[in-house]
Amino acid sequence: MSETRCPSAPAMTGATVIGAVGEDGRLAHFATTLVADEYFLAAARVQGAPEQSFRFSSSCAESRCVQWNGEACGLIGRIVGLLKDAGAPIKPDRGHACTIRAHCRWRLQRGDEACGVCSFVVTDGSGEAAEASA
Amino acid sequence: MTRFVVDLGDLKISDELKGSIAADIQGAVLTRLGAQPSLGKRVVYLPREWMGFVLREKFEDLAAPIEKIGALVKERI
Repeated sequence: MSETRCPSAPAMTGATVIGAVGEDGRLAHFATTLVADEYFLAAARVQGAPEQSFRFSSSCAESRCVQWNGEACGLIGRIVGLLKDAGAPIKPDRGHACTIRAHCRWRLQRGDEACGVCSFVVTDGSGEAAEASA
Repeated sequence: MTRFVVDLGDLKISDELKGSIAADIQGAVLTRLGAQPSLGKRVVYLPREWMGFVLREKFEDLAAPIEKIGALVKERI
């Protein structure tokens, strides 16, 4: 099992909960390592897909993940590219709390730039069509 | 910053019990957070600084919602 941590993993028992989506729609990173258990996931699922409200981390699956491009995670590069193309104010950042920073797959690949992008990312596990909020 | 601290003063307890209590406290925090309907009800999250986007399980599915968001923004400008 890889020691490297995926910062955008599915909600499952044993996964680390790295943060919650705040009212501004951005991820607030936790400073304490919190582990998802069945009670938390059951409570969260009443509200919808837990990935819409929280971000989860688990061991990087590397070649067993569809995002693996053969050498690295293909996701963070595409996220940074999309945000830059859209004119998002990406700034290298390592100021916020993060319980997986030392072993984060995205940070290992992109450094502080990955940390600057991370809070923009919310995983939609619902499979529903996207709608903009008012 | 939101912190919850339980200070037991000079009470001597084993590391095992400390770990057990900490796990219970952290579990309670997560369960209560997870039960909050005010967190994460929206499908698309829009940061104030930027339009935000949703990272889908299949990245290729991003194009359609991004176009939809762009169309909505243009309508409102």
